[in-house]
Amino acid sequence: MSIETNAPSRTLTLDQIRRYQRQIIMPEVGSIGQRKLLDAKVLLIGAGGLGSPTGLYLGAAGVGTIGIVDFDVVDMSNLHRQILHGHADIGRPKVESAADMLKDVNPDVEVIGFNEPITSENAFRIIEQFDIVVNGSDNFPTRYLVNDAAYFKKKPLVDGGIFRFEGQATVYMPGQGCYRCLYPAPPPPGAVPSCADAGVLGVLPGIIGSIQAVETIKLILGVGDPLTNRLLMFDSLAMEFREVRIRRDPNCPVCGDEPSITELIDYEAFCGGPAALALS
Amino acid sequence: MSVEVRVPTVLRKHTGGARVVQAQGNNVAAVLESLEQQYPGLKQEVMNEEGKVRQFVNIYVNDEDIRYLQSLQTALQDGDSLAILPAVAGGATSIATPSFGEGDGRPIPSHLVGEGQDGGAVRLSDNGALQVW
Repeated sequence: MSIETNAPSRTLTLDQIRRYQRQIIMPEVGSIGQRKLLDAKVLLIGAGGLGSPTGLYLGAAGVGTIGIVDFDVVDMSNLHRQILHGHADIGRPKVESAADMLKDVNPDVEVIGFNEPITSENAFRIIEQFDIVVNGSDNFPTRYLVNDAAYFKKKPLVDGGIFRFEGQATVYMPGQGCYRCLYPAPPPPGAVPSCADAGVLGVLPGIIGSIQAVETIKLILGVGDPLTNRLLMFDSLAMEFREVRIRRDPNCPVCGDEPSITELIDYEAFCGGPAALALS
Repeated sequence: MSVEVRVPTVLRKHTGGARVVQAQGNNVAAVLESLEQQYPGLKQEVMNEEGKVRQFVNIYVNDEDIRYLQSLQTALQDGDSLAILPAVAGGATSIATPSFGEGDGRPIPSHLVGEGQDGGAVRLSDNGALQVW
């Protein structure tokens, strides 16, 4: 399926034809596909390890509007993997650093930065402006928040995750399963180490984030077989890709037959976060 | 039945780093017992005290989630493939602070770990203090 856009009304400029020529000449893209990309609005949750390659490739491909939600500043420990940012950006807000880099890669792209955490209060306001949401977040509360908000707002969610030398990617189409169908509840804090604890090879999110970019472009163009209902697993040490099937769970509290969750909740509490721990 | 079990990175500390191991059993529950015999500590990562699979861990038999098969009673044939897949989130520092250690497979919550000249280790703790041992 492709994302519904108004019939692309813009015409490509000569510069745009030059810039995108190598992809326009493919039948799967063409002039119409290129205009769909230019009309598309994609939201990146996070401008970090995953968001960096996704943002770079979507920007290069000509996705016309890229939103970025990230309240973090660039830290030196980011630079081994977060390729949107450079040494000179240390200390800068990531959304600013990302916007500068993306405009340099492609002046066609409008970058809308949200220098704030995504929360239950702002998630709808932010997400509803975009066609597709790409998750590059680094913690469980945000994963569940973004999942629920994307579902309630009926936006496809291109998900990715990484750990050490392994990565995962999938696409959640509203109505065909969601992250909660895969993992109904998060691990208790500390049960599953994060990258900061256990480490991650810098190039790993580069691969998974790039896969997320391909999936996003496929959705925009309406070509290929998206990773809907398919969890792609990548093991870089074995250099092996595998897949398992994801099903919509009829008992899913958010997207199941009888949803018990119909609005955004307190995700920190749901995941046993500091607020919840402090109260316990 | 002899089945192949794929072990996710986060659980390989129990299997000595092995990515794929063999186990015996007629169903998933039996295979988890077989794994526990060979690799003590693995089962409790996957199952809670009530004998149920933890909600943040999925088990697949031939790439199908056992939730949609017969769960722990899912029957297995020789040569079947079983995969264990816990949820992973990504980069943020986790709330827990596991104990320091090197080489025992437990996570080290430091931003920088390096080897000293005489084999000692130098690291920055989470609050920025330099520690040497």
